Amino acid sequence: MLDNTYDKVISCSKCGFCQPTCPTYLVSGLEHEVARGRHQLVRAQAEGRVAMNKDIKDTLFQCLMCNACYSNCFPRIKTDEVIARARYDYITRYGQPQLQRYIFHYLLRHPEVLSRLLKLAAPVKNSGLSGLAQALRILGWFGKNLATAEQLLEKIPRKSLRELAAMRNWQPRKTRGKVAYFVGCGINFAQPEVGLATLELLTLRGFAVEILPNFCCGLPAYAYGDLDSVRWFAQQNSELLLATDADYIITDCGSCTSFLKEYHRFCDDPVQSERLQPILNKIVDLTHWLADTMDWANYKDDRQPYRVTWHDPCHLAHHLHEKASSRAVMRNIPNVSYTELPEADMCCGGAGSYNIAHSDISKKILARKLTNVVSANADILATACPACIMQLAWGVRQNGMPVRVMHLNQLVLENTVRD
Amino acid sequence: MDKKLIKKLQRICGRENVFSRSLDLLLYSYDASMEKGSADVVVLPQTVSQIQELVRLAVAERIPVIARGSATNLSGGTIAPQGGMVIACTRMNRILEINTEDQIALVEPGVFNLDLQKALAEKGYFFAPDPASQKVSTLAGNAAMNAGGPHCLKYGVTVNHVTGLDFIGADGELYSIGGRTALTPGYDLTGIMNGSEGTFAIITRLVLRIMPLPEAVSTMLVSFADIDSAANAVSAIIARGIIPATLEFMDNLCIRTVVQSLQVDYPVDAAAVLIIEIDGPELSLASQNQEITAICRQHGASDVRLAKDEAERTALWAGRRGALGAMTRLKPSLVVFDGTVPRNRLPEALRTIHTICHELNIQYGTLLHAGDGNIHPILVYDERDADETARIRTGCEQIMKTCVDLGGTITGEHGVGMEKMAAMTLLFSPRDLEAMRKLKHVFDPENILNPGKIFPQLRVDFCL
Repeated sequence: MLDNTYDKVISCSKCGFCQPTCPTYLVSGLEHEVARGRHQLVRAQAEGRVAMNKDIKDTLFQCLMCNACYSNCFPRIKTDEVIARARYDYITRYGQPQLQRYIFHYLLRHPEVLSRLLKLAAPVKNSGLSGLAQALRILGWFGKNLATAEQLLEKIPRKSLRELAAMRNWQPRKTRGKVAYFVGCGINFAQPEVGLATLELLTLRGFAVEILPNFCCGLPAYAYGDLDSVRWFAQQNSELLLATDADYIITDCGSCTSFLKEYHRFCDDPVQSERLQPILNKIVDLTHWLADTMDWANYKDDRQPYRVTWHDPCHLAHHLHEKASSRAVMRNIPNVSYTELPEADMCCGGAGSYNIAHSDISKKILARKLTNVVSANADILATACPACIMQLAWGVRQNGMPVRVMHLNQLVLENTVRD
Repeated sequence: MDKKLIKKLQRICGRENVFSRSLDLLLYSYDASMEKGSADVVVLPQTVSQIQELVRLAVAERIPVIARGSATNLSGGTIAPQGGMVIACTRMNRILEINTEDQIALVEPGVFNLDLQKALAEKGYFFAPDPASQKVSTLAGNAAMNAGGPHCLKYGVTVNHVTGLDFIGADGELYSIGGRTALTPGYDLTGIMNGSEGTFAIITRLVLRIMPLPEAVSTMLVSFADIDSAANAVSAIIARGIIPATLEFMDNLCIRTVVQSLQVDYPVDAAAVLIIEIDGPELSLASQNQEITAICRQHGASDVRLAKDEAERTALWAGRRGALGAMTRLKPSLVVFDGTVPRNRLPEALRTIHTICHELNIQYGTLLHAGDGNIHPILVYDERDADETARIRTGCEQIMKTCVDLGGTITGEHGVGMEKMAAMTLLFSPRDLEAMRKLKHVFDPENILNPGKIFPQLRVDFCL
């Protein structure tokens, strides 16, 4: 291994404290499915103590990369970094699946093509995804996962966030500052209404918005071990981040936020890496920004408070260690009565496209989450990540639960007085 | 492993619950100790009757059976040195009943200790044994190793809190011993199962004694400028007739390491700290605190800090519970010993350990369950360095010998496992050991259950 992955895994003391934090372990009880086991496998592989064959695939690829283990890990091993590297080695050896190659090397590098294809598919969505897949001629690559994917995506919006946002001018009446908005793919293509809410809130609280013409943040490629693509995305986006003169760079997807902040890891040029550092500090998750600017909010106080509970997206809770902001924001809204969700910071099983690739495990993890949602007895389940929203909303739909799943910013906007 | 046998196992537990690829065996070849050993097959049963069938099959086929929970033990208790079948009970993790009138909890073997504590706390109760691994260690594992923990000073170890057990014996039969009352006639089989390290039977259900949470708890952190003073303060507190709920000791290296790892507010310049917790009726605490403070001051304490609220208390404990793991920041591997000495020999024991480690050039830190003389020197090393590993082995041997020479024992709570087998001869005469072997023979005449543990083996090298 070229990087320091080996140094990381040898520092695992095998204490096993990761077990009660790991969602895949809790649903399987298997050493294969917990950070300790994964570290020992990667270590054994590096030391040539385990046969190199495809047996290792499940252990490597069934990790959610949620990093919940990190909170219990004394040597502070970031399991996601170990796993990403191990997956890179795996696909280097055994080849990258065609669908992933197409997505990371072509579609996400040409978002205009993806946008056009989604537009073709949207009208056919009753059966949206199969229409899309046919349009892309990649049906065969999806295989049995197609049905799952199709259920998860309730509808394909006819217009992307970028198109919708271009119809308006995002200038506040009185300007407090300027923010650059990094558009996440999930928001842009699947949940533009969330992005619009972000833009409105930014404007309402007095910020001029520059919508960055960015590419995918690179996290999906990272999750599948395509570190070469990650470098490409990081390079393209870093140029944009360096170019903007905004006071903050904001995203409304916790996964994008945390991954952008890691860009220095994928920068091979030490000069640019150094230039990047101060810019990365300007990247702020919307949740955090909402808490910081709480004093400028003008909230409605006009109804019996609804009961709201909160699911921590893993990238906020376990990567950015940001759990306080969302709760502070919700407690500050008069129309909200906040209840803590049991195991709020445990992964929902969404984890990007994990729910499609490993739907069996994902469903077990989701079931645990939904059981907790029931016990919280809430009207609204808020969160701050499009993948979580998709997963949770699907679970709620499937089970006919009387809960609205929404992004925190939609909850905030719904309760903001617009003069 | 024989394909026919695998087929039979699959018929008992289901295809998806039987693992025998080399990868599977690698992942079940270690626990939190230094030991390693590969089983031939790993099975994850979900019912008691499946365990029963597995054991029957193992007996018929004469293959070793090793019961396993979270595999957090520190003595190699769940390793399979002679191959065989690992029965991992991690999927049998339901709390079956909590009965506050009878003051018992009924649990499956794979329940995490802390999960039970959380469920009990909601009802105002607790389960006294609280090993540092309580977040993750399982209750059957706690019973099998007769686990201790900080609160055992006042409340006793696991054996004092198990009133009944169901287990599958080496004859493949299901036994149910003890019960829902503390007192049962005849031989105390429940007692003997605790600490038997999986060599007598496979525990399938536990009846645990639970207790009402004390009305009030008070925790203090006391700093000392030298180690002897801290150790002497410990003896003085107990000699005064005060039995705190916990009396924990951490030395400077542990303090500094844990501060780096967890951002806890410990005094990094203290030579040692004591974490003293008392519990009981609210009214009794203030005077006890004063008395303990006075004793500590008399023995040269430089600072006494009382946790003001629950958050501060939790933070103090986070440091103590995290200390062992934090030591891995120094070097990738560690071994922790748990010898016990009479309290008044603590200063002497600590000095000797210092000399041993110094002479062998071993980096180490010390934690103590000081109240009951249970010492936890943590020796850090890199297992890829053969020379260093050999020095560690020697160091461990000498530390155990020191404990025995001072009138103590080789293990207070981690169990003998594989790690301390050879050292058993330091403590027991051949006749003592023969008596134990006879007992083992009664429960497991074929030596099927967790073989290669507890008893000194015919090995040339020392215990590690």
